[in-house]
Amino acid sequence: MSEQPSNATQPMAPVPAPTDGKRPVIIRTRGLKKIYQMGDVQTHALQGIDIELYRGEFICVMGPSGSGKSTFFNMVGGLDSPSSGRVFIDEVDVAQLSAVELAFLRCRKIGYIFQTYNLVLYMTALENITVPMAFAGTTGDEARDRGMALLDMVGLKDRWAHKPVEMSGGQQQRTAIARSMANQPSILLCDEPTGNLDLKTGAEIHKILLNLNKERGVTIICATHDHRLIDMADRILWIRDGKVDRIADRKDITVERGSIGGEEHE
Amino acid sequence: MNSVEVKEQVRLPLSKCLELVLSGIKFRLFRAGITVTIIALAVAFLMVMLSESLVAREVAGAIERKAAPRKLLASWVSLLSTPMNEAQLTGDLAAITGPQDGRYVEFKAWGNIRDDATMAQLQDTARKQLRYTTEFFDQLKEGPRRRLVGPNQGPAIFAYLADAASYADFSEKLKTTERHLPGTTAEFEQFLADWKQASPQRQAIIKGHEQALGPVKQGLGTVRPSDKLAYPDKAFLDLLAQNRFQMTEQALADVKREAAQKLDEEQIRNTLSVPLAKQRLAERKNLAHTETDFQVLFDEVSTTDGARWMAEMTASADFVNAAAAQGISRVQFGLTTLPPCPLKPKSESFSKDNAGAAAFKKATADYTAKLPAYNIAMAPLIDAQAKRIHEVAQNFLSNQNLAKVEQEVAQSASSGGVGFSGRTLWLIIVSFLVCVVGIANAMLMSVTERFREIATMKCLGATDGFIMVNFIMESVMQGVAGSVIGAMVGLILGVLRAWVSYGMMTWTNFPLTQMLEAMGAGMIVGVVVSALAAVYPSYVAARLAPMEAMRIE
Repeated sequence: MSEQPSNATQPMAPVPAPTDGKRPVIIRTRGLKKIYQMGDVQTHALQGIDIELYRGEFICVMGPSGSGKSTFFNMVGGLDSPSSGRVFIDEVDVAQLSAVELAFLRCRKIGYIFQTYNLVLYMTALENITVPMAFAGTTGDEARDRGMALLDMVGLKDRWAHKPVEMSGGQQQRTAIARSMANQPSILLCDEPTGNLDLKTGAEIHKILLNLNKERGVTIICATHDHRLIDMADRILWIRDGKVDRIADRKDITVERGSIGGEEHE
Repeated sequence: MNSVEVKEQVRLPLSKCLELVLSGIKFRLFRAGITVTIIALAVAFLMVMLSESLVAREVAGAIERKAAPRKLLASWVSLLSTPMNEAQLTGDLAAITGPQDGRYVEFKAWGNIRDDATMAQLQDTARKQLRYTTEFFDQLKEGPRRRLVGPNQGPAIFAYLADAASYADFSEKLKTTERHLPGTTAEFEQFLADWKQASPQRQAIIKGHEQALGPVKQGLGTVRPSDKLAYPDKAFLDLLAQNRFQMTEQALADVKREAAQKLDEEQIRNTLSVPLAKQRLAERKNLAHTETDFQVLFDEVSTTDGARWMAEMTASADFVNAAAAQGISRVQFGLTTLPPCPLKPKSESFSKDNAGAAAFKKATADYTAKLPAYNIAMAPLIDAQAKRIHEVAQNFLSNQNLAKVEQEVAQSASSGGVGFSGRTLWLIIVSFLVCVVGIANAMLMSVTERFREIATMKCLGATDGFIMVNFIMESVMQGVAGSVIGAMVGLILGVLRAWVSYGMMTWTNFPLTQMLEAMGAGMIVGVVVSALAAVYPSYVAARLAPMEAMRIE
């Protein structure tokens, strides 16, 4: 995998078009199975998933609760290991990695955005963003500069000294996005990013995510129910009962967005 | 398939670690305060015990040093008054420090013992005897002892056991006794053999001493040994030397001082047996006649004014005559030779006729004429007398105080070693255990609350080890803060307690370096305890899965 340029403000070169007609794959799973053991009961959360996620695409994962969507999410995000089968993140078999190597993976290759923002409450926005940089070895002035640039990217330049308590939900989520991009990961894992936000604020988040995907070529994997986010996706994946129910390109799907009394409604 | 090239996950620089930990603590100041208080309390408790017992130990040592001359005087008085018995001899033999000790030379001379090896053997046997006596025979109750060795007590026990038949009986009965001899039976039997062998030499020493005592007692005459030792003349010292009594320079100085103190204390007391003195004292102190006692007197004459008053009073002709009337010889303090005081004639001593009356009148005039000359002669000596009285009274009071402090020390919680009784040590250990549990509990609560924060950190790249170190560092920092506070508070409290119990002696013998060492030790214990308490909670935190960050409560 090529090294990212250290200057975060420059957009990455767009993904090169595949020469042999095959798009480059960033995440690949083969026979992915996960079994949870709770006492005597075995829960088969995932029952064999074979899928390929392409580099630079925006894919939404959908599924009812208990369908294994979260488990699948954890697998491809390097947060958990499969019981059997393989997960290749950028051609690296995740199951073979030690704990330290997994931590490295999470630090540099994957960024995370949570529904509950998960910012550190006793640190300012800038400090929050520089934490993953510290884990990656960047400290001091360089970290601060990059942090400010990231904040600028999400439009929070003048709020760098504010603690999460002093920011609205939308601003917190934007800070979280900036944090997730701290080490220029190639994958962004989003778990209901707009779940706790109102429509207007959500729209800002959507814009940022889209920008990240199109301008910087970041692969975005989103678990969401927000139809507007689904509207922006390249592909949509449905998971049901631990198996892939359906996977389709955006253009093959109709997404209806309703309105009540002129106001946009999901 | 590629492999992840992990250059060692960059270790977070210590400053950044500390930064994270400190800002975390600041955020949770109240919770951190609880942990700090817990540690501070436990360390303070430890320090109070430690510091008090350190002071107690120093004070006890000082008291022993001060009391040594008195013990020395007592042993010399007994040496010069009565022949030794076996028990005394054993005690003395065991206490000999080395060939330069006075007793060593004396015993060697009296017992006609040729070589040092025999002396060493005697000493060794004496020490063993002491040990068996204190550790075994004295511990027996009357009943079991009678059963084992009959009506014998003390050294007689060993004389009894020296006989083979009695010993056989003894060892039979010993098997069914619940107490055991210290050491092995073989050692005991060897000791008995040595004891039997040394017996004639011991007898020789006792005899030698008795023989030496004869001329000395003659030289003393009617004077008590302690009085003679107060102001011994050269003749007496020579007499002692001739009869092999050994006294080093230092020992002589100490004994003289103590004996003089004893003598003059007695003199002070004696004044109160003269009613005139009691009356004067009562007047002076505005007390009732019956309330004046030795304590009042000593308290009064421990001041310079009081001492002067007493010197003047005891020099006055009235007092001397009153004392003489009671048969009390001249009261004097120290070795000043006082001029003879004219005696007031008593009318009863003269006949009732005219000649007697005229003689009485003449004697009275005589007396009145001599009085001024006496007073003038006496005047310069009163200062010396007052000074001596003052000195003696102060020593008396300080010895009284010493006795009180000694009692306090005996009652304090210390015994042996650094000075912890078993019970105190147990209390301290329990308090630290409670600490560990309390801190672990507080930390676990903290970890449970922060699960999302921890999991997020892991998503951002923190390793399990980092999380664990983070939490342990948090606890250690709180432990350091608590230990420092607790150590200082505990030290101050402990010293205050000691001050209340032992008075000013606390400060004259303050063990400063040991206190600082104790403080250091206390702090280390506090920090170690807080680190230990954090191990389990931080292990729990380290094991948290990163996906926990995704969970929605």
